[in-house]
Amino acid sequence: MKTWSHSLVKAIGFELIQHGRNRFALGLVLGFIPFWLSLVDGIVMDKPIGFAYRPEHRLVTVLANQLTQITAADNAVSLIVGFMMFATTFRAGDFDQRLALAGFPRSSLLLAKLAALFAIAAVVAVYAWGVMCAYHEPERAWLLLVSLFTCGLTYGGIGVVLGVAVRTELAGMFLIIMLSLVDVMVQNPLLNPSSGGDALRLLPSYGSMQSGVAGSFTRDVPLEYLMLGPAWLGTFTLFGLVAFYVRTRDHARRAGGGQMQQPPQSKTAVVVVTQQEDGTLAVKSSTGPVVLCSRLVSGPQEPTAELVRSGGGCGCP
Amino acid sequence: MFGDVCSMQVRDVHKSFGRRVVLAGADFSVSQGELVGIIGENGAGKSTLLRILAGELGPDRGEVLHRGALGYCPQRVVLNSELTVAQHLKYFRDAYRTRNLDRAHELVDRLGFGQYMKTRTRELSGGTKQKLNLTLALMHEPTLVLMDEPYQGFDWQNYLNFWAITEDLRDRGCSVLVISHIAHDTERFDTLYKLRDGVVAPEGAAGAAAHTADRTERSLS
Repeated sequence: MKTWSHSLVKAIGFELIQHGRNRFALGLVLGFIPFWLSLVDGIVMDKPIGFAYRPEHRLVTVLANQLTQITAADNAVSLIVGFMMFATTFRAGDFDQRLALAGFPRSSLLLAKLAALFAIAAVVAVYAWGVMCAYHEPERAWLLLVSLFTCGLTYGGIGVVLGVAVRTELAGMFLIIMLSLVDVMVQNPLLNPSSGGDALRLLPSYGSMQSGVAGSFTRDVPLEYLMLGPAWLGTFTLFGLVAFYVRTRDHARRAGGGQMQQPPQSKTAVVVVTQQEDGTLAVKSSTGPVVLCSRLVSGPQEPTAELVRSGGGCGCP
Repeated sequence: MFGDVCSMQVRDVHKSFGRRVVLAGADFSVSQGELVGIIGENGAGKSTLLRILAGELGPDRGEVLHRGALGYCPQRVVLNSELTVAQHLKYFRDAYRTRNLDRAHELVDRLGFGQYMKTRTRELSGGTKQKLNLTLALMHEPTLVLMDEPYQGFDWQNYLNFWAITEDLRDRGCSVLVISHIAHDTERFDTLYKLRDGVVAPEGAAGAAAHTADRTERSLS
């Protein structure tokens, strides 16, 4: 008997295999991140600009190109992780349902998706962070890395929810792209001069952006902002959990004792027996099941028949 | 002895999608060891009925009861395109909690796609995908099998293999329900129903046609 943990390990392994075979996403990671971050660093001027830094309720002066690189990194990480999680969840939706109906623990399937999300978000964040560090040295490098990781977690959660909830792949991709673009862009003072508004706190990558700025330009560690990403992930996971359970629910009912009526016992078969040229008998049933017996066996008592084959619904005398 | 035990009972099952009524009181049962066919025209609701029987969909009204392990082969091939054939078998071994893959490998051999064990399913032909689809439904030796047009994409030899496997299942006491639209399949069933106007009725009961289960069974010597 396989244990739940065994199922979980196997599900995690197969989830990672699926992500590893997503060549388009891997291409995006390898090519898009350095391209996008290099482009931003090259085209945005490196002059000072004010950023509304919430943890200390003040404006901090930062380099515009370095700040925009944080925006671009959050955008790239959120797009790639969100896309990967959406793609596997969406494409494997029917397969997951079939597995669940066959008896695979649904909690294992969902936890495996979360484990894969953590792994993917970590890999993509480390890669983007490495590219960023090649251009600018952050004040607290680890904090910048964790901020990217939490951004990936947030959008991975969004990807799972959309993968379960939307009907078409195009709709899911469009939503992830637009959400990510709007989310990160409006927090950049270059694009939105009033980027200190309270409404921005409700954006999914708000905590990541604030902690990314903290890691790049200050010596602060704003834990409450750092935890916003996991909080979003928790919220999306809850939605995903409910949607996943609803979608993979088994509506079939196993019959308990006495719940099922017995089938009708007397299904009358109508047969025609004809003797063929070689002396054998052919039996044709025009309705109802039949059982064929051969060789009447004589014994000390009544002759009995030896069963050779039975059809449904009828027994050998 | 076959036929004494009911494997599945379908009672007054209704299902609508919006205003379109698909099932309007489906009512029938399947006995142990019985090979049942349900035929119907395109759009009659055959696949909806089978999805409800398999537990994939809930009925609006009525109930479906079944006994024992269920095997379900959906009409649409439901596989994971990024996993290999062998990985599918391992995944479903855990789902079914079977001790080994002996039965799965036996089915793979009988259907003749053992050479693709390490191939990802996205690279398989439609017929081979369908063979795997079928294998996943049967590999845990279920007591009741539900199949929806399970031989789509099969060549003639595999079509015959499919029916040989199905008859083996019946002979082992497994109940089998097959959704079919191919008229010449009908002679293979012990019991044949027709789904029409949302209702499941014995085919030929209205006297429109003779029961199509005519079959020459075996000679007696």
